[in-house]
Amino acid sequence: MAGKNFLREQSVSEDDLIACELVLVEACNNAVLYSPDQGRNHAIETRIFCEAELIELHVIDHTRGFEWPEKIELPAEDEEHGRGLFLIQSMMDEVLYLRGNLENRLVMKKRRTPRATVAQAAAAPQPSSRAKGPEAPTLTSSRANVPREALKGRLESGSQKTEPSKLKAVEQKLAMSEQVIGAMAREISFRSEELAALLRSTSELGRTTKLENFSQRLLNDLLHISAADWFVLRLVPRNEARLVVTNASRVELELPPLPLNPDAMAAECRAANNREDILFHEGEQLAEGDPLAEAALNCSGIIRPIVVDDKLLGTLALGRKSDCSPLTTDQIQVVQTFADFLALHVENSRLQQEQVDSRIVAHELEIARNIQQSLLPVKFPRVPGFGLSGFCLSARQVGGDFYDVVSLAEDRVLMIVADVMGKGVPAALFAATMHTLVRTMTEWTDRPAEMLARMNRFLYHELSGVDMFITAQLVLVDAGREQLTLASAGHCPLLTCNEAAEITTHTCDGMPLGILPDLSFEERVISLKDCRCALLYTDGLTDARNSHGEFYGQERLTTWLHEHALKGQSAVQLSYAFLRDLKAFQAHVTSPDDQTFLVLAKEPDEQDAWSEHNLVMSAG
Amino acid sequence: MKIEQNGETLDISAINALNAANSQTFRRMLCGALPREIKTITLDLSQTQAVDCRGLGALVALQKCATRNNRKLAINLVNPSPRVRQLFELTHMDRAFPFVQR
Repeated sequence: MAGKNFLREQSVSEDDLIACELVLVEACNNAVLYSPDQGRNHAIETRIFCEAELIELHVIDHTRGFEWPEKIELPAEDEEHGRGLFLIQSMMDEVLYLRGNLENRLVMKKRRTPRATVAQAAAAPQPSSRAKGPEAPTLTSSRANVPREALKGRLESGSQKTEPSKLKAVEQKLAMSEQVIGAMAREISFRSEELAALLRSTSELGRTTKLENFSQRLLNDLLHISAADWFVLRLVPRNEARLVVTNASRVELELPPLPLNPDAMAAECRAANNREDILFHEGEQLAEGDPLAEAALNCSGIIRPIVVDDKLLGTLALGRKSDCSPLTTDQIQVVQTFADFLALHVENSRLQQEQVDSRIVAHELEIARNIQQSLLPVKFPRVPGFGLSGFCLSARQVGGDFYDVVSLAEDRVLMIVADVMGKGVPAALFAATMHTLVRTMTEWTDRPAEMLARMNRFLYHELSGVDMFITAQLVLVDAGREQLTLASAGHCPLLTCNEAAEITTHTCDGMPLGILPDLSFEERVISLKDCRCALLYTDGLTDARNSHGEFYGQERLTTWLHEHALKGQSAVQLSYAFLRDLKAFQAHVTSPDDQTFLVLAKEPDEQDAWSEHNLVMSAG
Repeated sequence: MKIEQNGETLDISAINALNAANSQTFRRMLCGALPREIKTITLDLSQTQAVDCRGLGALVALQKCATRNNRKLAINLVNPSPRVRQLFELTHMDRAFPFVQR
């Protein structure tokens, strides 16, 4: 009514008035009735511009708009709908439909009826301020997103009437260009939002400690940009074959985990297994019983697998209620971009976590190594007339080999060399236990065979429970009686060298600890009177290989001892000499096994009898 | 809106508007409960100020409703204003709904 009064004030003819009123009604009807989306709730704005020769009507709505048909024809007589646009087109001289980003503008122009006609029809009162010239009055403010000057220019051109058909064609092209520009502006706006969200997320990389927080923020942005209503992000936990909800936009979407079987029927599993997007919408809903369909009933959307280098990390499901339109191609592309971006972040986050974990493990191993090293004797007890030297090299940071020398009396010591089957932390744990146990055993008995039998009873359940065993050799050195008492639990033989440089290999019957619950061990006594040196060792020495793959071997070991035992060297000197030979043999080949030995040698000089040397080395 | 039955004719008058605002009501009211003997409907549009395409759609729907029930129904428009007449003429609906001057 206000518009009608305004036009009357501008002395617009009754015919023009009727036409303007009718097309405004039709345009507003269309904006209200044929806009199914949320924009329908926004007010529809009408603007009326009145110039001396032209009336221009704008109807602005905030819906998604519609495609203006290229050719508007009257529908059949029995059709109930479809006459509005025809009416607008028929009653107006020019119609432009400018579809923008959530704002559409229908511009309808009508040339005013010639003045004479107006004068005849001027039964209505004529206001004194009739509109003339370029500063035409408008009903609303002059705020207009449509380039007003451009419109004016076109209208002025239209008044020349020299080549109306050509002018019409130009105007149509112009209108098309404006539509294209509108679409581009929409696209740019859309992409810039996407880019801004990604840049914002990128800036968080390295600062965000929890992956869940990062993905929540990213997916909230995605909801906004893609105009979606909900999302569910599932990730595959490390070393597991199931999809577990990490983030969900609503509590009811925090669904139970989905096992990733090859024949799993859930849509998210199929998307994950096939590495393919699944689109669902009103016409093609998710299968009945699908966990996602139950939680997000009557929705349209997409499920995209989260994949890096064909490695499945999870799935992203995103959708909107079906009373809204399905996702557009642009929105699907945005979801895909975000999902791929998220995939990279998930992978990076996991790699970072693995780095942290490995640093923690390395740190803990370093501590364990130090503890294990501290178990080795720093100072050997005195054995009158003899010196002692030991060496232990772990293939890893911690190992299963160890040696010890325990003082039992002034002239008696117990030498132990043991090898826990395997390497690394499990072996090191048993080595530490064994170390403590040996020292405890010496409180009860000084008989090596008895000690081994008791230790086996103590350790059997623990060792057999994890299918491990320990080989060990115990040698009681009794300097007073000038004898060695030997017992072995499946260990390498003891090598002794006499004053004639003859090497003797001493073996004793006995199974490794942890094989059977009750074991007995043979015990042998060897004279020390003629002994120049004795060598206890683990098989890491004889199993050492050179670059040709040859073993160092028992024979080379006995030969080396034969050649060096009588050279008047102390236990420490002998150890160094042996290590040089072993190293020369191995060259740059790293031993896969721990290497340990213990040397008892007659001291050439009484002053050197107090040997305090042990050689502790580690691969770490 | 005033409705009177005169034999086989249904006279509808005092119609202020036939547009988006009341077209749905108009359609429901007449389509569902049209007496079987009615063969003609006369719409007195002399007082009708506003008609739009939705109102036209309601008239089409009314006629289709009668056709579905195997009935022949004539809808005549009585004394439309120039503006309303223009709308019917522009959309060629005057062919389906003839004007009657009284």
